[in-house]
Amino acid sequence: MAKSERSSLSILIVSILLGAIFLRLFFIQIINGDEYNQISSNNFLKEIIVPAPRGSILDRFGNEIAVSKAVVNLYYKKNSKDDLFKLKNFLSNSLSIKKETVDKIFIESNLPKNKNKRFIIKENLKLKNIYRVESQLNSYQSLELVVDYLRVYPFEEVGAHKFGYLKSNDSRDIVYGSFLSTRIGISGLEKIYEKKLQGLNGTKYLLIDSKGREVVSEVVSFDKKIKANKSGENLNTTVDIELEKHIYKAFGDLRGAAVVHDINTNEILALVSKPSFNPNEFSKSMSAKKWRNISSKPNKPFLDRAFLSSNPPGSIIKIVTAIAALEEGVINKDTKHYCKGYYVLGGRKFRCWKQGGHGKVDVVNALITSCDVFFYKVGLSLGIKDYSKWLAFFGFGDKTKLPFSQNPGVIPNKKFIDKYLKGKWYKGDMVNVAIGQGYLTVNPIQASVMTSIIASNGKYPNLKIIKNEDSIDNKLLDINKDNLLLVQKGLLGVVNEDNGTGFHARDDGMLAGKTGTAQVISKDSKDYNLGKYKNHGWYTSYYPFDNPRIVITVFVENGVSGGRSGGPITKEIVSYYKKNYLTTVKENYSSNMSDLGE
Amino acid sequence: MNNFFRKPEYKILTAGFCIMILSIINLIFIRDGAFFSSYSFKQLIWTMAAAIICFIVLRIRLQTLKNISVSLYILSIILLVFVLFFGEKISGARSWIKIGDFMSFQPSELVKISFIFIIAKFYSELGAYSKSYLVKYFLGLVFFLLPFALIMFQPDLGSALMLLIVSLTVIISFSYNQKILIIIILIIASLSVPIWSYALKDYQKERIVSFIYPEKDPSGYGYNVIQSKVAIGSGQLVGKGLGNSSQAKLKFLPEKHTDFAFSVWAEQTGFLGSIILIGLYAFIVLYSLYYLNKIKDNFLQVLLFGLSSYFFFHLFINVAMTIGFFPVVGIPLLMFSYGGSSLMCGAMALGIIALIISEYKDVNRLGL
Repeated sequence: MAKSERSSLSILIVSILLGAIFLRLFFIQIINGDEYNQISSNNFLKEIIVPAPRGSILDRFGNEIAVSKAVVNLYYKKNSKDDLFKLKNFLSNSLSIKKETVDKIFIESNLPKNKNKRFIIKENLKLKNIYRVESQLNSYQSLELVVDYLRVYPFEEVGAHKFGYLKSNDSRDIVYGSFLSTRIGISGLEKIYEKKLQGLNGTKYLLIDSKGREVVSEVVSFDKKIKANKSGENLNTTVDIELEKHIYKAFGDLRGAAVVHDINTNEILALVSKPSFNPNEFSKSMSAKKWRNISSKPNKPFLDRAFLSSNPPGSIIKIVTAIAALEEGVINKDTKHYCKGYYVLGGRKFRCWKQGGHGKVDVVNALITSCDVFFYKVGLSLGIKDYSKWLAFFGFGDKTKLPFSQNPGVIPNKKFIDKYLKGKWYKGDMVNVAIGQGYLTVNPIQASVMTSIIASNGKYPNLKIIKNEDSIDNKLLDINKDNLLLVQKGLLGVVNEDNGTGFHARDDGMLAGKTGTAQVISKDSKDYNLGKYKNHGWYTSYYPFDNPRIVITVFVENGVSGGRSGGPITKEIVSYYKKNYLTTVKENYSSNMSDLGE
Repeated sequence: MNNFFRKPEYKILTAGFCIMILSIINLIFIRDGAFFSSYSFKQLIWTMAAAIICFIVLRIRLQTLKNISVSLYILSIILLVFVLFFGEKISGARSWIKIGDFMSFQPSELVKISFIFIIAKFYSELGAYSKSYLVKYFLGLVFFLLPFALIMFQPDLGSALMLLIVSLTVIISFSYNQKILIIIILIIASLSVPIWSYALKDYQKERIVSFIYPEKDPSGYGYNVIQSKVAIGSGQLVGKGLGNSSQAKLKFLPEKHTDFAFSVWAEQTGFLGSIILIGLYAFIVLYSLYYLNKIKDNFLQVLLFGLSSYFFFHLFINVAMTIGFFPVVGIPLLMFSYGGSSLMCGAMALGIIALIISEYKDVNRLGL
């Protein structure tokens, strides 16, 4: 190699190689710098999720109905530095977690889509297990203890339908997979007030070294923002959970629903549907098998019978029939009809429930004895047009303003007749509907609204279940006071007269109400009032008669008769109310009244 | 007595000492404990020693360099043998001679320079343009193989590789013959399979595999390269600032004060800092090569070429290693990585380069 060549050639080679380094550095530091900076931050910053508790659902006295309880959960996040075999042994020996379960998590975590995902290994660790894991956190970087919040419903099945529950498997959080505290409400108040109740998870970052140990002394500047967690807001309901518990017990083995509301404040005091379910089951992960088991029970525990079960009202509808007839001038307080035990219409016999009949009855007596024949005749004179108008005035066929999903039922108005009956309405249909059978279905909450209107001299109640929520002023129905008084007298007699059908709830003479028995139709007459063809019982009432405060509606599915099955439950509710509201809470109560300006 | 007329070659020396100062700064900001037991303090002591060595070298007459060549080589070989028996074993290699509690010395560093010396001496005596290629290759091979084998016994793959690269560069460029070159390449190629199968240890094989696929095992051997790239890349244009090397401080980066010192520097000072550091080395290398064909003396020519390739390959392979261009083989960045032996040898080489260039300038100036 020539002398000069050597110099220039080596300068050339050196320059080319240095140029390559220059380009590479430029590529790494300038072009991909951001990316590497991100990796570097992720290297030493460990993101920690700080779950936020969900707000509590409270009853009117501040009792906790749904509350978030802090629990410590163990999470796994893949970290290739860990010895999986040793980790598996640790988990199965110290925490008695099945090896197959651990293997499943390991396999899952290896999938590319689960790169940053945490897997829950064990929920709600016991204190001694928390200590065991904590002592090993430095040895296993893939383990992580996270405080989370489990939704707990201390009253379990009581009132569960309206309070609702959380969606069992929520995968909104891509990092933690299943975070208990981020689960959303999917039914009842938990769903309706999701935004208010849901907290906001926070994040914080720990400075860690390559061994995953937390470094406190070093301060490295980084621009990741710490996000504080925010607890959800509490939800104050108007419900008295102890009363609900009492009612739930009073139902015994019966199925059905009960509604209690305050006439003066429109506040719902109790909304019970039985059978019910335990919402706590949904707070943790639920297997598909378990869900199938619960949801396929024949007695439909998830059906909120207070809102969603719409049935013929039976005799309780005679309240509306009476008011409508009085208001439309079809009858007056002196109008009497003779009941011989049946009524013949077009060759067909329409029976009164009482064989042998009631004799001569006026409207008050007809209500007290629940005389069918009287109301057959009144119904025929009234006609379906006016009757369905009054049914609508009382809120039937429509949903209340309460935020729950409701089955409004049907009323035989023109629209219904045109649509389902080809516009044909027979007298036979009319007599049936006048006593609450046939083409008329109502739910318990609608029955309560009806009774409330009677008890409050025509005020349509805008029921509410959330405290301090503005309620629209009650709409006043234009009903003659005298007519209302007639019906009220009738209702008082139902409970307290010797021949009243509601005597099962008789107590201090201050309860006024109406019983109802809705026939469940079966094809075979020998099934009548047996088993699942047993009649549904209604008992709707208000208390006390002289200064009405609460309305109580009890609906019993397949309960034989309204008086016999609904009466005792109503009686229990009244006695509870007397004991807890009219003695100790009385002063409090009246001061609340004046606050509300009523 | 041309010593008196000689004007020291300030540019080269300044570049060299700048590197040493940057090295101390880099080590200070790693902050690895109390100052007096820290790497930065030790490096400061070594730098002062290096300055003295450099100063002594600059007083040496050029003729003396040629005369000490053989003894320097023999001394190196003796030390290499000595270290095999009495050496200190650090991270698997018996390559350190302990001097007191504070200092230790790595003979494999010295042998790189003494090989250049002895080749320079024998090639200059044969004549730089002698056509006796076979003799040259044979001599080169003999002088190379002995220390190479001794280093491989330690075993210190990095030093052995560096010796191989510097030796081959010097031998080939001063006895260039196409036929022989092709034969050498063929021999190396045919030997590579048995070397891979028998000579290389498993951990060495893993390193080479992980060099080709660093992502194959991100937490194993590939981990170092990935973390080094992360450190360098996250420095971006101007760096995270001195003292803010999170990669080093939080121990993501291995060998942060030696093999990966450049990564730490690049993380703290960014692209600009990296270019400044590399620029200093580039200046030393290119400036030396610029004077290469101006030097008349064959001995000095081989020496200058050898020493500049000694600087260049340390720079190139070390940096290439940190940016994933080259397998991680444990080659320090001369005078920048922490380490007394390489700093002393670097300073020696620096002094000799400065000596040769200033001598040439003096000769020119005086018209001799």
